[in-house]
Amino acid sequence: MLDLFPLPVPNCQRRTRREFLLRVGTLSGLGLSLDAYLRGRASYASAAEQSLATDQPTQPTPKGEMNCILVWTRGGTSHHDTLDPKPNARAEVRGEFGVIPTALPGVQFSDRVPHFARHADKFAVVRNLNSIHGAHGMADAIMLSGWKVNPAIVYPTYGSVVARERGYRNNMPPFVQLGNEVDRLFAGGTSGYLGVAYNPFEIPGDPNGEEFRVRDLSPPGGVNLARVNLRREALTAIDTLQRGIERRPPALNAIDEHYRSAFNMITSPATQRAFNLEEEHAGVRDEYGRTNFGQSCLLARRLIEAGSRFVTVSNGGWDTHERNFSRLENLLPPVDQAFPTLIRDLEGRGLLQNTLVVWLTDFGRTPVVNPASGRDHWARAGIAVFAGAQTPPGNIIGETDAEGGESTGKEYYPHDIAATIYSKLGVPLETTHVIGDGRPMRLCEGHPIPELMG
Amino acid sequence: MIRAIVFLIASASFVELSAESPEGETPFGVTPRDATLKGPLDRLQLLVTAPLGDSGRQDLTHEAIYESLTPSVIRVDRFGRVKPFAPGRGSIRVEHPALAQSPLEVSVEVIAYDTQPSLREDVLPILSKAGCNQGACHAAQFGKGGLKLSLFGFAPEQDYPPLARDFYQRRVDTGHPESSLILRKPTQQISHEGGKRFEVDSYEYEVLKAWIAAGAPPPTAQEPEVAQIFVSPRARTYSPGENQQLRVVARYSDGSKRDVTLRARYDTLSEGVATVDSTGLVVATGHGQTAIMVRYQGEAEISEVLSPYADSVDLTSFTPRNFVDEHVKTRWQHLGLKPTGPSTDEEFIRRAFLDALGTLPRTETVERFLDSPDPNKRDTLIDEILGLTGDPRRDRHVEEWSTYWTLKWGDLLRVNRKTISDAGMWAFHHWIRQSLRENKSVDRFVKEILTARGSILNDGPANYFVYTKRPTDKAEVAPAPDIAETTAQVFLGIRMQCARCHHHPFETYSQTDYYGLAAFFTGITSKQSDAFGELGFDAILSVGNHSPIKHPRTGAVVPPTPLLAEPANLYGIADTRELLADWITAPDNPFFARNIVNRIWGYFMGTAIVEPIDDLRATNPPSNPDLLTALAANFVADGYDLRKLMRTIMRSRVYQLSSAPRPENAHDSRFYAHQNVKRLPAEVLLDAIDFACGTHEKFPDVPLGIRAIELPDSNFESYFLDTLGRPKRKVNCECERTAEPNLAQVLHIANGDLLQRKLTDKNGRIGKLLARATDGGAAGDTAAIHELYLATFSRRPTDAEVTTCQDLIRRSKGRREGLENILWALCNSREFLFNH
Repeated sequence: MLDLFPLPVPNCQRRTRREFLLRVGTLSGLGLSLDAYLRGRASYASAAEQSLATDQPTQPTPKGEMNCILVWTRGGTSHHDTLDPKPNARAEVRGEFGVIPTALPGVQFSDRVPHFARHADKFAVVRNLNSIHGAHGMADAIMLSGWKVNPAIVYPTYGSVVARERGYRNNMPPFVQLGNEVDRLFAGGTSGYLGVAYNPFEIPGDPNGEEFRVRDLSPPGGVNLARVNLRREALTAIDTLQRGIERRPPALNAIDEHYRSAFNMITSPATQRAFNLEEEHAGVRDEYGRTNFGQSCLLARRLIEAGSRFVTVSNGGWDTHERNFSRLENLLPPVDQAFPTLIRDLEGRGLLQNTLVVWLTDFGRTPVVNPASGRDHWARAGIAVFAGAQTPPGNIIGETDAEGGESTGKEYYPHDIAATIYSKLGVPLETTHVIGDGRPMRLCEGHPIPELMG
Repeated sequence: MIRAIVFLIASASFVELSAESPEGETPFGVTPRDATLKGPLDRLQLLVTAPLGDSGRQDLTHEAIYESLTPSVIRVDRFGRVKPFAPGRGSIRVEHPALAQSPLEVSVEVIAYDTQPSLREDVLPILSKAGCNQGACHAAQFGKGGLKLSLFGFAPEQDYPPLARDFYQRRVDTGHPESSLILRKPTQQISHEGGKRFEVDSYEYEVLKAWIAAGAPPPTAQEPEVAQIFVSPRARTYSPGENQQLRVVARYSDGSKRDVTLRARYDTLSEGVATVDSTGLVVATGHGQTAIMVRYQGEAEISEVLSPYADSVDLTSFTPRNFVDEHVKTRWQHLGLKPTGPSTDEEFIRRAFLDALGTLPRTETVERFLDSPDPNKRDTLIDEILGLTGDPRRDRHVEEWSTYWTLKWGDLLRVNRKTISDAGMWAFHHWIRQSLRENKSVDRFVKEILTARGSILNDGPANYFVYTKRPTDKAEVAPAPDIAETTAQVFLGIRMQCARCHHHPFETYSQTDYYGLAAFFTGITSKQSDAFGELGFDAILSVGNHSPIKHPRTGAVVPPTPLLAEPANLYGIADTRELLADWITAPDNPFFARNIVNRIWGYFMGTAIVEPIDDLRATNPPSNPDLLTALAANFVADGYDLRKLMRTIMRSRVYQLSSAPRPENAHDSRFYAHQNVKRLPAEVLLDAIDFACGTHEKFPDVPLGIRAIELPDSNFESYFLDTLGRPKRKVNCECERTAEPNLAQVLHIANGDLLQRKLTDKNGRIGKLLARATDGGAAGDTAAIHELYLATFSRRPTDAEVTTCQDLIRRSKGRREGLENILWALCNSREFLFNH
C-alpha cells in the first residue's frame, strides 16, 4: 500500500504488505473486494434477520463475548489536573489544584477527582501514553483508531471494527455513540474504510434533559405498529430499483442494510425500553449524577445490557487553553461522579468481567500553565484509564518526569491502546480487511499493553 | 533468430528517455545503449524489453543474460544493474532469445572517479530510502535516540551537524569508517531501536561508508539540485503476474543526469492491482488501473499500470457522439470494459434535472417530455435546463440553475455567517447567485473574487478574504497562508497544506512554493468601525503595500511566485493579487481549467476523473488523462462557460448510460461503463420530499417557501439537513459534504415526524388529490397513483404497480391513509433517494 505515513512501531520498520497478500491469496483487483463486501454484508444481514426471528428482551452477553464502553473527553483532558498531578513541581507546573491520597498507597490524584481517588483500586491508569500528535481532529482520528492520519485512507474506529466483525447481537445497533463530541475533521470515530454500514448509531441529545428521547425511534403520531408493518410491505413492493441485479452498487446495498436495521429497532419493544432511562430507579440515576455525562454513562450501561456491543460516551469542552482551572471545576465533577459509578455498577451487575471500560482523550496538556491560566496541547504525555474485561485493577502504569512532560521510562502509543482494546474484545490483531480498491488492510500494528492484559 | 553483434561507439552523453514512445513505454531492445557513470557510487539500471504477441510487451530485465566484457571497468549483476570499478570505457553484452538483436552490447564510460561523496546527493537519499528520516523515526519532532534529522532530508544543512559533528563526533569515525555509529546502528551490529535498516556491504552501507571515509564533507551551496525525475516505463499494460523493472533518471539544475533507480523510493497506489519493491520491481497482482509513485529528493513521478479486465472487448455497439464518448471508449478498449445500455427517457429526465438543477421535474414537464416524439428531445431538454436555447422564454430554469450552483460554490467558498458575519454571508451569496444568473464566465468570476476589495456588505466577493473567529467579532482579514491554501485548493485543486511546515512529502511543492503563493495576499488590510455602513459593523477591504513574508526555516523573504513558475514581476503593480488572478485564469494555466472540469464532471458522473475530486497532483493520476485534458481544453475554448461545459457532459452517451451495472462491469466505478448512483444531497432530498408531498419546509429567519437549496449557509437549523450530510463549511474540502447513508438518516426519513407531517398536510399533494377526485372510485385512485409516481420517480407507474398500489389503498384505513402509505413508500424507495 501507499505507506506514506507508516506507523511508528517501536522499531520504525516499514512493513511490506506482501505477507498479507500471500495470506489473502490470489487477489483479482476490484472483483475480490466486492465479493468480500457482499460476503461481509450477507453475514451482517443474516445476523440481523436471525435476531429479528428471536426477539428477546434484554439479552445477557453470551459467554465469551465482550462489550466496551469508551468514554471520550474531546479537547484533551489535562493529565496534571486529574490523575497525574505534580504536587512538588514549581507553581506554574503544579497549577491551582491540590492533591489527595487514593485507595492505592503512595498514589495521589488531583483533589478535584475524589471519587476516582476513593475507587482507585477499581481501575488501571496509564500515565505513560504518548499520543503522538498534538492537534484536534487528528488526535480524534489517531486515538480512536490506533493509526496515524493518512490522507489517502481513513482507518476505522474500534466500535466500527467490532460491528463489522461481530454484527448484530439482536435488534440493538452494535455500535452506538452518545453525544456528538468527536471531532470529525479527519473522520475520527467513524467506520473509515470499512464503509458507512459500520458507522456508529449516533444519539446526539442530552439524556439528562427533560425532553430527551431518542429521535425517530418510536413511530410518529398517527402511525401504529400495524401501519408500520403495512408500510414496510408497501416499500418492499414499490422499491424495485435494480432489484434482482446481482452486483449492485454498494451504496444501494448499504441503504438496504439500514432500512432492515431501522425496522428492527422500531418494531421491537425491548429496543424501545433500552433507550428509556425512566425505567431506572431514581436512586441509580442520582448515583450516576443528574448530568449529561452521568446519564450518558447510565444509558451506555443500559444499551450494553440490551445487546449493543460498543458504546462511546462523548463529552466536550476539555480544550482548556484559557481558564483551565475554573473550567475544570465545572468539567470534572460529572466525570468524577459517573465514571467510578459506572465501573462499580457494572461490577455489581456481573457485567464488568465482560465489559471493558476505557477513558481516552485527545492528548495531555502542557506542564507549564500559560499566561491565560490555561494549558495548551501536549502530545508527549497523557492519561488513559482502563477497567473491566480482566484488566488488573489498582494499577498505575508508567511514570512521567517531575514536570509531567514526558515518560521517564517505557511509553505506550495509541496503537498499543488499540491493540489492548482489540485483544480484550477478542478481535485478532492480524485481522485483515480487503478494502474497496482491493488492498488488504491490517487491523493493528501495536502491541497489547502487558500491564493491562492480566 | 538473427544473431548479430553490434558494436557501439561509446558516447560521453547520457542517452535519455527521448527514445521512448509517446505513450511512455520503453522501446524494444535494451535501454540505455550507452551511458556514463560518474564515480564509484553511481549505478546504472538496464532495461530489456521485447514484444509479446500482437501488441504486448514483456520485461526481460531479470531474465536476460549479462556479461561485462571489461570486468576491470564495470561489472553487471543478473538484474541488469551495472557497477563501476575503475575509470575507463567498458561494455556489456546482453543476450536473450526474445530480442530482435541478441546478443547486443551496451557501452558504458566511467568518469570522474575521484569526486567527493555528497551529503545532499548521496547520503540523505540513502537515509530517506532506509526510512531513517521519516516522521515516525529520526525526523520525529524530537528525533529518536538523541538523533534528530530533517523530514525526508529536505534540510541538508540541518542534518549535517547531528550526523557529522554532534555527540562528540561519535556518529562518524573518519579514521575507521566501519566503526561509525551511523553504520553500526542501522546494520544492527549494535542495538538499534529502529531495527536493521540495511545489510553490511549493501549499497546503502557502501554509500555511507564512502562519505565517512572522505572525511564526512558538509553540504555546499553550489551543489546542483534535482530538477526533475524521469521514470521508465511511464506507462505499461500488464497481465496479472507480469513483472516490470523500473528505471529512474534524475535531471539536475545544471543539466546533468544520473541514474537513481537504486536510490529512489517506490510506493504502489493500489496493492490490489500492482506491488513494487525497494529496487523498483513492479508485479501486477490484479485487474484495473493504478500507478507506482516514485520519489527522489523532493521530486515525484509515477509509472502507470494498466491491467485490463479482459483481453479484448467488442465496443461496436457504442457509437460516440462527442469527444467525451471517444475518450471514454478508448479507455474501455484499453481496460477491456463493456458499457451498459442507454438510460430510458424516464431515467434521463430525472437525472438531468437532479444533476443540473438539484430539483425534480414537474409532473407535466415529465409527461410532455415522455410523450414527445421528437428524436432530439434530450438535446432540447438539456438546452432548456441549462438556459442555452437562445430564447429567453424557453430558458425557464435559469433561476433554479443559479440557485443550485450557488449552493455548490457556497460550499467551496465557505459562505458561512460564523466566519464572515450575517451581512457578509448575504452579500457573498447574492453576488454568487447574480454571477450565475448572468452566466459569468468562470475565469472572470474567479478573477473578481481574487481581486475583490471594498465593503464586505456591498462587495460580496470581498468576503473571500474575511475570517472572523467569532460571530460577534468585527471583520478581519484572514492570514495570508490561509487564503493561499484556500485559493490553491478551491481554484487549482491543489492541497498545499503539507508545505506550510515542510516539503510536500509526495509532491514537488516546497515551503518556498507555499510562501511564494501566500506572498500574493500579504497586502490586504481592513478598516472597520461600528459607524460604518447602514447596519454598522461594516468593514472596508483595501490593498496596501505588499509586505514581505518569510520562509519559516531559512528566514529569507519569499517573493510572490505562482506555482512552478518564476517570481512575479511586481514593477508598477499596486495589487499583487491581480498578478496571481491573471496567472490562475490564463488559458495555459496547468491547473485551473482541469480543476473546474474535474469537479463538474465528478458532480455529474458520481466519481471524478481525479479522485479525491480536489486533489490534483502528479502522483494522483487521472483515471482518464486524455478525457481530462480534452474537457479542459474544450472549457477554455468555450470561454470558461459553465453551462456549455455541462451541456458537453450531458449530451454525451456516457452520461446517458443506464446505472444498472452488467456483471462484467459491476466492479468499475471509475471508468464510467455505467452511470454511478448518487444519493441526493441533503438539501436536494429535502426539497424533493417537499415537492413530492406538495409542502414547504419552514427554515428559521427566512420566509416560507425558501427552498433548502436556496439557503445561503448551513446555519439554518435543520436536523434533517445535518443528519443527511450537509457540510458545515468549515474546511475547504469537498469531503465535508457526505452522502453516506447511516441508520440515523434512515430512521429519520422512515420513522421521523418530518415526513409524516408532510404526508398528512391538509394543503399538501394528497389533500389536493383527494379534493380533486370527487368520485373517490378506482379511476380516482389510478389518477392519484399516477401523479404520485410522476412526482417522486419522474415516471408513470406500470400496470402492475398500479394494481399493487390499489391493493394497498384497500388494505389501509381509508383512502387518505392509503395514499399516505404509498407516498411514504415512494419517498423511502431507493428509486427516490438516489439519482440513478
